[in-house]
Amino acid sequence: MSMITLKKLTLPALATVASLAFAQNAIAASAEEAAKLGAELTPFGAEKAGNADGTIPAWDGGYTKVPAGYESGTQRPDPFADEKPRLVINAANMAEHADKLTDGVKALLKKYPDFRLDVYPTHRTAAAPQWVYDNTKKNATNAKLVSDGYGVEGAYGGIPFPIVKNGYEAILNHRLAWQGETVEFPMLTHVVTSDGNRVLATKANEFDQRPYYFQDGNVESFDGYYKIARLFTSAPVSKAGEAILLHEPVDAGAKARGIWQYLVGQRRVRKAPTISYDTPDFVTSGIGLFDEAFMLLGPIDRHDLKLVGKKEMYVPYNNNKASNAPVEELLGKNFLNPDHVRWELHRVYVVEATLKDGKRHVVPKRKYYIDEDSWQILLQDGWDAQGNIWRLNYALTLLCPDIPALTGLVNWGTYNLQTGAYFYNAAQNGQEKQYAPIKRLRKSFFSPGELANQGAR
Amino acid sequence: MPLQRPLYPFSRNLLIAAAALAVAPAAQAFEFDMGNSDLRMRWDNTVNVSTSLRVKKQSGKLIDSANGGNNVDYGANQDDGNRNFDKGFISERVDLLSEFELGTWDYGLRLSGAAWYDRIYNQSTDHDSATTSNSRLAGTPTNRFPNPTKRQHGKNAELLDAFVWGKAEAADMPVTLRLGRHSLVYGETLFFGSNGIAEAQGPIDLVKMLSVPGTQFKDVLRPVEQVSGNIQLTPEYSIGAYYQFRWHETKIPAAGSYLSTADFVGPGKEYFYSAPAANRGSTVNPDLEPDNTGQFGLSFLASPGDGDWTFGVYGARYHSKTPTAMYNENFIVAGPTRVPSQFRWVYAQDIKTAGASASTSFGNTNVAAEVSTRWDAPLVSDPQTNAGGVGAPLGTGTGNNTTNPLYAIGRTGHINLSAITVLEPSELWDGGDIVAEYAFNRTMSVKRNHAARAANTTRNASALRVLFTPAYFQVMPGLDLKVPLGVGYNFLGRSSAVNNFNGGSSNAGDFRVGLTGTYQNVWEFGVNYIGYFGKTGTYLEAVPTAAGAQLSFDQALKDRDFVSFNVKRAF
Repeated sequence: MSMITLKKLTLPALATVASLAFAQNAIAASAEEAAKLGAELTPFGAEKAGNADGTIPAWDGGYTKVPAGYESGTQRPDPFADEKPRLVINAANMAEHADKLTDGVKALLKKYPDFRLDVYPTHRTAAAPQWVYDNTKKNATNAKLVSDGYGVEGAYGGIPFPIVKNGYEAILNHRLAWQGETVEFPMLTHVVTSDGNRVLATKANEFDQRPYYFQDGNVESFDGYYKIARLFTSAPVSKAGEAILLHEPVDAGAKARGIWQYLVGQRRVRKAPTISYDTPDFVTSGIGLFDEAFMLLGPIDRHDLKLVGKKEMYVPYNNNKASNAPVEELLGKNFLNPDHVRWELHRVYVVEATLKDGKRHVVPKRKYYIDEDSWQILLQDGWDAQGNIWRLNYALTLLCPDIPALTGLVNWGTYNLQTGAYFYNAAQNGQEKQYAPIKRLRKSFFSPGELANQGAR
Repeated sequence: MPLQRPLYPFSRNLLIAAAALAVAPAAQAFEFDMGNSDLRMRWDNTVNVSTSLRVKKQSGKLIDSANGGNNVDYGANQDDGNRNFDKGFISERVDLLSEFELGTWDYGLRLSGAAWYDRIYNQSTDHDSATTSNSRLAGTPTNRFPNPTKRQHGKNAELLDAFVWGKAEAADMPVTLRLGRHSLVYGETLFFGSNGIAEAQGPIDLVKMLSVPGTQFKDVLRPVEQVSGNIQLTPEYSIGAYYQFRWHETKIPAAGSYLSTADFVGPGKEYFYSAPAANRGSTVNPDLEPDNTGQFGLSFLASPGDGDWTFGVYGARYHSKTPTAMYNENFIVAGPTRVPSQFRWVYAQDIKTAGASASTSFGNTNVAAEVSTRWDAPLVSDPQTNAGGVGAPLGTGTGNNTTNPLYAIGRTGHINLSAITVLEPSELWDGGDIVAEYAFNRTMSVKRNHAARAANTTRNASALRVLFTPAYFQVMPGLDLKVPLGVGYNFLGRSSAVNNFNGGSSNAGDFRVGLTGTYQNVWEFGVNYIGYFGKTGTYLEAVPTAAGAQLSFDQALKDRDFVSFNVKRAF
């Protein structure tokens, strides 16, 4: 394994930090470390320089060029449509690249001789507005972990821990990653059963708002819920009209998650049980687990988190092409059609999650692969209780130069490597609106009372 | 002689229906893009093909009467639903639900309707005891279902929703309005709507609820012509209100239908025997229904702070949706005595209720509590004599459901506690849930007609319903299964505050063992066994020490266990 030593800390030091109890006050970055943001580090804390091989270029501000005549929130063209793969990895040559492939990807390559990775030139496209960078710099010295590492305080409007020191910080950086303020996007769930049948499991529309990213807000005015979301289901018919409201706290130790459900035909809203952890997501026929949704959803406090390090890996990246492909072409019998999926070499943080003693979870060990530039989780491997590789979660990140952002909230899914079933969720393919930035919605739009006011059903 | 039903027409019909489902296009719904991207239209059609079989033969305790059984006087009035169905098919049915919507994000129109056909209710019955058939003296052939029964269970179509809705902002506050036929419910009830605030908002389809025990209240609401609205005062507080333009009754099993336990209640009721052997009894008068006006309600909801808790306060005025009491009327001279020649059912009206609710979640469990009280609520009452004259009754008296109710009226208290738990995966299941509700009611005071209260009732009563549904995903490719296991149990008292509380029996109840599934997310199917437990006994029993009958609170469905099969898909 070619581990890269972090600028400041060696790996043994990281392991020590990670194993410390967070009661003893986590370490904010020093002013000296924070000063590197925007200099040798990107504003989000990634290594600005490329790699020695030249296969990873330097970060030059990300990709913010909006095509002429582009209407925000419509299908985003693939800016790299002319490129050809520089490398193709399949079962035959995977051994040569084994150190840059996750165990889940390797398992997929081994299982299906037809599966392959088309590796394209790396483009470090992640970008954010300047005010987000400014806030990130402030956070670097102000943010601190609370609630045993599962919450943060003192952070606002940017990446909380750009100078990342442990797995807990890395995971919070992912949760609080910049992906725009208020967006609307379709949520189509396509399940491919183990015998290769493609089923549209559900069709919904989601509104996401991140009060953590109000440009005119600040850490004092922030009410502690970093994301509020409202989801409307329109298919299948038996579920049409159902709605869910979600309030995600930045510190689950201080504020509870809020989930409400709108009951069709009754015009009534009921607080829903908090569905989380390894509860199978019934929408995906149980192939996905609730804490894997959107690559990470809800608490993961049954696991200890360890930052293993940062390394170069082949990961799906800049997948506008996949997002624009018709689903019937993209979703193969056993895996996403390799013709449409773009892989690139990127530096990712590897965070290992290990089940705590006395806790129960069907996935006792996981590895999250988090993009150094965007803080999006690009891949996630999961092992079963016997230690066999079991699941591979993927995000086909969508490049949205109009926001600007690189988001992994759409076009993600899970492979069950043991049964062969997989799904592709929050699919934008063929939809009129695609991860569309919209005007800020009033707070009451996300209140349980108003969930009851949604109209026909 | 019970009629033999040949098997093959059923099989053929079901096959035809199933084939029709299979060849229909796989689209999930018709969604039309209206060009203008804001305007949407959708038209959904759901077809359900089902059949049910009775698995036990009639119990002598429930049908014997004229031939010297246990219930000499009343057995004849409580056997038709039982005798009409021998072991075997009790339903072979096709249902269509059609839903149409047109609108934008801010306003729209919704129409829905249902149609159904059940072959069993459109042919002769298995009734083999003409002398106890309540159709006999009414002129209906004794092995035929009365026409209203045939309509409700056998062949009909009805309009359900028909309303327009709109949203707007007034002084920065979001406002929603709905006008037309629609359903609505307040409070936190899951199963025991008749014991909660929900009783005020509208009628339900009790037939559906009884046919699949464990059906949640939300799935059986029926629409009412009304205007309803909500104002979101702040993100934390909202108020709602409705005013209804019409009264509708709850859909209860029609006389002679499979789950009917009293031949003189519900649509299709024709005759009440007082002395079947002497061909004597009373004919039915039209129901005394409540006014169409006078039903309205208010709600105030609060989710203060982080919204960990949701609180509600409610008030409503409403009319009874189920028959309240039976009046014996038009007394005539018959030999040495005077007997009623007619009977009618009355529905109580102008009931007032107020209540409060609270709900929160602890991890993967949601809990809710609802407390309410009712003023001028009808108490469970015996049939009343509505005759003119004193001492020597004749004709019909002045009893009604307004100025001179004959049934008991009082104040009642109600508590519903419910929980929904999401199952975490284990070796025994992949997922699923447990839904449970406990209900309690109490007659707090009696305001009028103390003597009319049904003997044999108790001041307090409690019931419980639990539905445990483990789920199994991808049992075969594309196939998800659930195993609903449910039980409803009335473990305390014989309610004096709620008619037919949780099925009406005491120390008795029902259970359900099912297997339901979805295939390719398009086909839904289910197999359910529904059974009844408790002491066997008819709905009414003879009073031990005097003439007349009283509510038995025994299990009148004890011999009515059945298995149902259904296949459903939407287009």
